[in-house]
Amino acid sequence: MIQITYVEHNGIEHRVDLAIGTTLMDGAKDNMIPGIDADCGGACACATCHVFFDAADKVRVGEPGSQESDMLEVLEERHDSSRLSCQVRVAEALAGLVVKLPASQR
Amino acid sequence: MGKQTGQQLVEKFDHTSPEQMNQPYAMYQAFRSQCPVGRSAQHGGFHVASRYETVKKIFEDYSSFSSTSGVAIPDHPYRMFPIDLDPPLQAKFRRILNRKFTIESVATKQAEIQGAIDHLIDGFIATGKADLAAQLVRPLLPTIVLPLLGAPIESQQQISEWIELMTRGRASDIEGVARAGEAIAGVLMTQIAKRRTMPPIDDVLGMLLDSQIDGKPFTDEDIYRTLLIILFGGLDTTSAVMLESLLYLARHPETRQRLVSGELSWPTAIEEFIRYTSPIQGLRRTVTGDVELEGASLKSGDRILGLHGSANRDESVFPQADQCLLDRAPNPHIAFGAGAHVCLGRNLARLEIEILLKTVLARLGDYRVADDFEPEYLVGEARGMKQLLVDFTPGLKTGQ
Ligand code: HEM
Ligand code: FES
Repeated sequence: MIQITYVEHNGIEHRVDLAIGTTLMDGAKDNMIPGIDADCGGACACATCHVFFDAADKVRVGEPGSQESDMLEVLEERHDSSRLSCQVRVAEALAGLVVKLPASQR
Repeated sequence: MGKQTGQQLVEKFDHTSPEQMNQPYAMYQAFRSQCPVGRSAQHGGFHVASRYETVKKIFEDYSSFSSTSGVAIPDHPYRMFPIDLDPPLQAKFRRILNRKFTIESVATKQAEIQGAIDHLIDGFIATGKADLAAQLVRPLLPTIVLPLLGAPIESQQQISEWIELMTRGRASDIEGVARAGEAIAGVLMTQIAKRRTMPPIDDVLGMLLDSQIDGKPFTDEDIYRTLLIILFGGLDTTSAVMLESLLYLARHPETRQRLVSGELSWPTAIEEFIRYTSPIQGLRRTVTGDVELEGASLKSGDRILGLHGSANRDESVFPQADQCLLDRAPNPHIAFGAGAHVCLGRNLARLEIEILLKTVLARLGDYRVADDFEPEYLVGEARGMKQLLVDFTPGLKTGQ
């Protein structure tokens, strides 16, 4: 387990413990955190699980794969650090990470 | 059937055959246990996948299993959006459309749905008998979706009648069905052109007129292709669940009581009705490159039918899968599809089903079906009951 903080668009914070090997999308869904729709259930096919990070965290979170990059093109509000949360696996290296949620997934 | 192997059954499998599809579940069971990815020789040949995990994977893995050559067997030459697209373009359509189909957005239709149901029930409640398919469920659904889309108010009644004609005539009156289809196309295309010149209205058509993909606005044809799947995607499917649930509740009065008393949760029960019905029994994808799937070799360009109807009866995921267990949880069914194309209208369908069932139980509380009633199914894209004849103690119209 590591601790992760999700921050909603309006600043509300949710501090949760996530199991290693799950995804940041699972973590948001399991903890009923609003702001992640995840319509496709984690298939990297809907881009409704978009999150982003502080610039300093970009390296430890890692770069999107090629299919994910294509899906990120779908977003109107895209950040330099944008990822699809279903494609980010929870690992020790992410302990204490702050995950930022966009205003809307639509 | 008992003597044929799964392999032989798959070879003859034809999801458009009324004989096979009236009772398909024993056949699917044989596919899953003996031939999980088989090949049918019908309709020019296609692969058939039947196990839950495999079917789900096919619908999730759009880069290996594409929708762009169509999702039907036999082929449906007319392409619709976003159903016949792959991500990422498909996802761009969905980001626009999803806004009108969220739980919050469809909840604003509650009073309208209730009113439409009450109005239809008022039409027959005094007589003590009805065909709930022809008098309640089928006429209901267009009256909800047409205003949501932005169809012209003055044509909505007429469009509903054309749709009913198409549903009833599908097997017998091919020409009549084609004429009704053209008539609907004419009305919608005219409406799209007219609405471009009018002030914006807050419905699906208005939203499409106001949106762009990659900086390009939609053409009239793009919009028509989109309206059409939203209109037709929700009719036979939703009515299939409504009728299957109504039949089940007629035959299980004790369950009816547990729902009315609140002992059973409505949302949990409705998910189970949807799983149990699985109105879409299967959809096609086209293989984009040579792959192995559960021992079968698929070649680029091959067609494969993923069977939602079979996946949702897979015992390894759903214990007692052939039973309708209204408190089933978890219930990870894929009746609404899986992956990118997961049903756009699922929140609306759930709401419509819930209001309909609650209202029938409240107003036709003692409705019965004949002991010897055997449902017959219309087969096509969706599998749904043709008729549901019931009788009940006559009641009063609303407001009387
Ligand atoms: C119980 C009722 C329903 C069932 C079982 C159902 C089932 C499905 C399934 C299985 C798909 C996936 C198609 C694919 O994978 O290619 C789908 C997609 C779709 N459904 Fe439904 N549906 C229902 C109700 C509705 C309603 C009420 C509407 C609209 C008012 C609707 C509109 C659509 C649309 C537009 C798509 C295409 C989405 C896309 O391609 O991204 N459906 N539905
Ligand atoms: S859940 Fe659909 S892309 Fe992540």
